[in-house]
Amino acid sequence: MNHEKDKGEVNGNKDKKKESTRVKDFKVEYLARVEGEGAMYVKITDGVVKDVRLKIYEPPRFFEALLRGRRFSEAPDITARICGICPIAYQMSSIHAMEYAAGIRVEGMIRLLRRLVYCGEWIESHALHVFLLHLPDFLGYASAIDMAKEHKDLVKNGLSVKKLGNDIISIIGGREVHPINVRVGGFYKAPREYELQQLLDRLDRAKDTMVDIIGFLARLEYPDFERDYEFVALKHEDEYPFNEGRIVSNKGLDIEVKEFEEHIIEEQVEYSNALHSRIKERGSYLVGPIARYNLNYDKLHASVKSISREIGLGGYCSNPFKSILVRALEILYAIEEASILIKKYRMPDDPYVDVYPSNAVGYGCTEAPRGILYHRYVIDENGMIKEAKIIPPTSQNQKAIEEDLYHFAQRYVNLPDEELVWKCEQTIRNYDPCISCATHFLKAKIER
Amino acid sequence: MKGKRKSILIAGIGNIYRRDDGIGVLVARAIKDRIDTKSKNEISVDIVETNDHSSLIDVLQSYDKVIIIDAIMGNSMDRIGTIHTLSYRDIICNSGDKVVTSTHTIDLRELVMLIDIIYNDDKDLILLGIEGYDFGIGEGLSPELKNRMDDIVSAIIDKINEFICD
Repeated sequence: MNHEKDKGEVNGNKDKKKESTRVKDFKVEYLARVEGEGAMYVKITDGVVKDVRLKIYEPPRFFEALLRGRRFSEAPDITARICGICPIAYQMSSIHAMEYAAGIRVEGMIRLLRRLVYCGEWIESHALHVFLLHLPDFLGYASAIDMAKEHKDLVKNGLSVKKLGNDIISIIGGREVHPINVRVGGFYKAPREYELQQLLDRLDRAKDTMVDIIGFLARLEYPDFERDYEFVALKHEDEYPFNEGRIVSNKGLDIEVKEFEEHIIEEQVEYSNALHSRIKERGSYLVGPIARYNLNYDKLHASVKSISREIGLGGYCSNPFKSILVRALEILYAIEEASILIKKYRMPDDPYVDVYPSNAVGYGCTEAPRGILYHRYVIDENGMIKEAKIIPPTSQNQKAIEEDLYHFAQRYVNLPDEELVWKCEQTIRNYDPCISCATHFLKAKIER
Repeated sequence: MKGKRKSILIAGIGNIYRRDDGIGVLVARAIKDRIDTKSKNEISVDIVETNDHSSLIDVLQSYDKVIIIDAIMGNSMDRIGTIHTLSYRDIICNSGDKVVTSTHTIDLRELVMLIDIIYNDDKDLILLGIEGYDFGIGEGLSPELKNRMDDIVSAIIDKINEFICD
């Protein structure tokens, strides 16, 4: 977003301007604790933020190209490699798209297992962000290492919760790291009941741990920063959403998954090779935990709602810094939901149903930890992928992140550079941007 | 995860869709066929692959010895395939300038330091870093690294055996 209306004047008469105008280009060469590759640029002139650009060096749709010509059944494993943090999300969006293309809806215990494995991914991914990447900002530490030295028990408890999420994924996904048991139609092998039931005691303990931690997080100091976002998330009539639902917003969007590209478009911006998403009629929007929470608060367990009221958050949050609280509440929800699902689970006779999409288009959208993850595949008559489209949550949030940066940098524009950089980094970290979905390292650049 | 304390973990780290970044994963796969993972002198060996260091936080605690195979970003084609062996202390003391493990969330140094701080567990751990050159987007190693694959796998197996018997 460019707010630099007088840019030509500044550039056209540099010497004169040097006397009267203080132009500050704010540069950050490396953003700690944000994975991926990219850059942030903020330009400040005469104490006014003129330009903010979040540049993400997205591989130009490499995975979409890689998928072309592959068999439909390969999509879950290939797309799972896009992100080391949320492979389940990629697997789930792709299998739901393939099943849609085949006109099959998978129900029963397979559906339950999919929901359960997603609980594991939310717990693991959210815990990583809350305890190692985001919390140091609020406690005033530069890194998780520094924080762990003085808050050892807090980090240890957080990591025990993270490990529980990993163990759920491991039992259902087939191995401790990088799950391989997910396939179109279900799972290669279904776990036995006792394998999951052995987690129940740990889930109970983790619930207590998270209740304590949420109380601790609620007492942290949060910047007073709220914006009028358009929140977008899945909405299911009976459940807090993981795999299914309509795509809705707080400003009137209410569409089926297959209508995604009719309402949400991707645009190329000159300074980044990542595509920016926007709602056709209105512009930027926000996906992820806060959007999910605001649009699905009524579907949370009563116990989670009760805690959210106790800590004063209630059913609506528009402060991105409080996303750490919402993530913690979603961890608690996922722990409770996992426990409920495990108690209901009975090992199915068949771990999968046969699915053969042919000459069809499939759409899938699921709630990755960072927000909705959209997949579309065009399948030919032999079950080969002719075309693939993947829109990860971080791409969708880029405009909202830029707008946050613009407003937040303006508020703190008089801070020394080092402090302003730190504030901007925190603003970006609110979104847990999984830029590796699209990229490698993230660098940032701010100029005054 | 399985409750009992396992012995040796070999972790291949990297993204196989980022050219030479995938060398750690590919070497781990190759040695899987050449190391008896059920019992080697009554020692159990597990091999995992991931493109994210942070996922190892949950796993490392269960092992006595850990061998991490990862790509290192080199800046010279002449040194492609060179294997660097770094001990736990080398990694902890490294400022990050000398070892640039390629592309992952929490870097290896942060990972082992966290485990040390949280669990008082200064792991018997080594990093076998293999120098790559092309870390761009794409499937498959660069031709130069691919040509050296057999030698690299043999050298890594020697180093693993040396570490296990140490």
